[in-house]
Amino acid sequence: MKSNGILNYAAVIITVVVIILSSAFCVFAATDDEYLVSAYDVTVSLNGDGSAEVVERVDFTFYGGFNNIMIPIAKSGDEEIEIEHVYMQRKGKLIECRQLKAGQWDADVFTGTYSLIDGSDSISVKIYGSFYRSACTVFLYYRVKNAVTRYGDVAEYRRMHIPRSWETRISSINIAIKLPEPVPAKDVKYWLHGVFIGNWSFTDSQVVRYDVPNTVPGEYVETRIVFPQSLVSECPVKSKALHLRRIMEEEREYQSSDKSDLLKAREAAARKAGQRALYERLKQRAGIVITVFSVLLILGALYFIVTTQKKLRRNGKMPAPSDFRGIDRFDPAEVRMLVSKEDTGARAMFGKLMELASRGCIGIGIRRNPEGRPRFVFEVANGTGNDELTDADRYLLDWIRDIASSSHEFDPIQLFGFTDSDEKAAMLKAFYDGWTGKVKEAYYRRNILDESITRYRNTGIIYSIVLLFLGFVIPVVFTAAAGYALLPVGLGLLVYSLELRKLTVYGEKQFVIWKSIRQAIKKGSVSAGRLPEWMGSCAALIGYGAALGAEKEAARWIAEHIGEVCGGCPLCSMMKHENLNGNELFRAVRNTVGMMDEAISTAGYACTALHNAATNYM
Amino acid sequence: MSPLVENIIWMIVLAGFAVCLGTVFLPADKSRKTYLKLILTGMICRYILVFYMYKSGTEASGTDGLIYHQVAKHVAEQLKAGVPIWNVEYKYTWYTVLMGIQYAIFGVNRYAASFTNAFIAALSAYVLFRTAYGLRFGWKKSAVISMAYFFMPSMTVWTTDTRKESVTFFIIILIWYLFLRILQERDRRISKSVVYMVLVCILLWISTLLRIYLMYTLGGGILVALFFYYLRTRRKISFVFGAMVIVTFILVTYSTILVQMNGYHALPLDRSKGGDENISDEVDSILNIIMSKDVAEAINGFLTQPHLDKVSSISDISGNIFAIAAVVIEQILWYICLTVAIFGTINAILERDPYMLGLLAFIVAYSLINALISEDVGETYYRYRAAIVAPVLLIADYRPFLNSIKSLIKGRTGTVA
Repeated sequence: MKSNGILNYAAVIITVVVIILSSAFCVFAATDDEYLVSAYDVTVSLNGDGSAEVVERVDFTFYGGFNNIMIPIAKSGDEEIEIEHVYMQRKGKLIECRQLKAGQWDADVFTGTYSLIDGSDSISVKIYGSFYRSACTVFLYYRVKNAVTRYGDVAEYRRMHIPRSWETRISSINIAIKLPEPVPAKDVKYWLHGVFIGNWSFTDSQVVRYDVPNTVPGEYVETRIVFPQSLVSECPVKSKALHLRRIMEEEREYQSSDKSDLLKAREAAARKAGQRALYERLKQRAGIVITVFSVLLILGALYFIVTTQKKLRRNGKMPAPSDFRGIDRFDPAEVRMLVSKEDTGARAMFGKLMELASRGCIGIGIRRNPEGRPRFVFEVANGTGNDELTDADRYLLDWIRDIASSSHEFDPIQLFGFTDSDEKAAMLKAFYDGWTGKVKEAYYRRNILDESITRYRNTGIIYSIVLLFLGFVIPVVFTAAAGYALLPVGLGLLVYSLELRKLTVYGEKQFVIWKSIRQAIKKGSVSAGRLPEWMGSCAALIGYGAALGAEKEAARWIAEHIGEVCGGCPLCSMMKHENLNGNELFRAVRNTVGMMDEAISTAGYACTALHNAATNYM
Repeated sequence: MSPLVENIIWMIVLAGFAVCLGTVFLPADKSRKTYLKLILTGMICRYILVFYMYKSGTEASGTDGLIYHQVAKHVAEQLKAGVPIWNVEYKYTWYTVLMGIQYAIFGVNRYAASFTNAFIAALSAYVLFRTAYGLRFGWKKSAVISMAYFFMPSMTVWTTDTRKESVTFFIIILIWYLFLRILQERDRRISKSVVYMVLVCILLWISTLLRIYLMYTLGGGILVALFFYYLRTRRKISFVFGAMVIVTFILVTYSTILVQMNGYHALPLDRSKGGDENISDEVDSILNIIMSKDVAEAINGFLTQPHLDKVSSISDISGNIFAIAAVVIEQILWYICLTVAIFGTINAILERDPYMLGLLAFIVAYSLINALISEDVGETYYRYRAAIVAPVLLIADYRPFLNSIKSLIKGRTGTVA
């Protein structure tokens, strides 16, 4: 019940954290202006038939990633737009884009293609490419039919060059509209709509120029020119009536209007610019704070490691003994725990079985598989031994007796029968955990470990979890790359903390002793005279050798000195009977340990899932 | 037969088939009926969405889905003309061949193709359920995971249109399910698992046909899982299967990936008039894109976009309040899922759980590739991220993490006599 409460509490905390972090996304969200037009140059040549040849050069600057650009071309009344060429810049040179027809399934929508999207009041040119935080220039060549409206008294060119629907900031707008023929300035009237600030002029008796510094979303650029209708003699007359007065009246009305929509657009743009600046400032500050915070956390981890290392070194170095005869008796499983940081495993079990065999509690034999690979088997009916058995010894003997049942022989291959199903795997794991539990109880009673380090270990584990958690959260939520450094530091600290242990003075002494014994076995410098009597038999020696990870050297030594040492232990008798040399003895040990390891590991892995199921009580 | 009647038959047959498969595939439980009713409800929602999506006609609706439909029609024509399946000309993705086969057999019917995608989405839910169940999540929790996946609004959309997403997600989930079966096989004889292993290798190849880099991410995750599996269990099947995956990598790379890359639609190749770039030129472009990206921002974008304030500006749903609300809710739930998944991730590291570590490796590899290569557009990230939703749902659990921490802290006593 209590754990349910804690878990539910944790769920509530997590939900609150996420909601808070979600709002952080809004604060730290990227700016809306992910691209802008840095320059927009238009050249229009009006023809005598009322059509216009238009060349647009559009310079884009991208702050985000895009796979296409959309350029709207306004269309009104009777106008017809014919796109002639589209060029885009790629790798420093201009490439001509290929048009994709609507529904053209076999087209490759790659860089250098474009499609046209026909709307009611505009045509959009969608140019495909890969644009990411870069600049790109696009050239559009198109023809506008019926661009000029011819009346009885004047001809009118009126065109929305930058429609209101183009919701982006556009800078450096330059439009040059060339009349069909030169004409006196007094005969030409020209206006600019959609922006507050702009210059317009009539030059070279033929060209009307408009210069607008910039537009913001909500503004537009519309040019209107009125000129003698005789310049477009081939253009059909739309209306023979006189329209100049009406046009002048419309312009007077426009000039005198409040243009509140344009004002609002400017205000909105200014507000957005302010927000963007604030966002950038906040982002920069947050980046610095997060980086400093991450560095401090990493330094904290390093400080923790240095502090614990100092604490671990206090016992000083112990001298290695030259003679092992008077050492305290440890059984192979305890030796394994001592030298492998409290790990047991198949080596501990094998070592224990061989030690029991050396005491006459069980017998040993050799079996071979069809390929001739040897392994040990243990006869449980033979010999009861007259030594006092510990709880762990009795538990192990009872267990292998159960497995052996009527055959009175425990063959490690029988352990694989326990991996057939999850239930049997759980049984094997339970047996094994029961035995290791008793071994550990006895081990901890020996005053090997210094409990004072436990606090540091637990602190290190929790701190490493915090680092790992923040290592995932900080880079994703705050886009601070420094946060990623918390991941390897957290992982390293976790491994360090899990391995952390401090031995008592006694424990340190025992560790040095058994390390020395391992060294002696590996170097082949061990001799019966140097070892304690309870390690003197070959069976015990191979058991301790396996626990120490020196079974190969132990096997070799036994084979070389067979019969000299113990005068007929079960292992010696078996080796003579089976004609085993050192190499085969080692292979038997390796195969037996390997089988036990695989069976126990597989059962352990299967039981992890069952354990997780028990905790997922839905 | 009128098109409406034909569509009704398709809907009924596929829904009925999905329910039948559910009774076979799902383990018995008192909640199974409710679960199947929910599956039916989800399929009906998808059917309604199909009619809404194609309200302007099947030849004018959609973007990628429309293109695949048109390619599939061409594939169907080839098949009817007697061209063998292995020789058909297709574009973009092998999914168009699957659609083309359906069109060739049953006639061109984009509605039917969408209904089939809805059916495949239901199958994905079943397989995801079995995966969660195999990971010992319990019946109800497994059902919650698969229903969360099945009813996610974005999943509903991606797996309803005639896009490849439905098939792609199904392949990904199926691979991870089969791999779990291999890991959990108790019999030491490798022959028992060979069928699954061969099937996984074939599915890895198919995944490449759907999305060119998918094999490497899935196979990489499998190799990571096998590595940790060997450390935990010492079983030799790890080497055998690992070797099979590596051989699959090599064979598929040379036979499929390198062949396809030259015409791959997602690469920024130059197809302008006179454009003549080849793969080696474009590798430079791809590397330039990667080098110019802010990695932290790219990963943030891939995992979290579209951000809540940007949802309304997604072009496909702009102005649609219902759709915007659905996406906002989904994003919040996704953020919660991601946060909880952190605990699951840490637990996987603590426990050195081979399967979970493999899943994590797949998620990380897939996310990195897409974050670095994909266009930096929220909508694109949103769609590509959908492939890792199911794996993240499997990892998103904080209870095992809290239990692991408790047992770690209690675990060692070091008592003094």
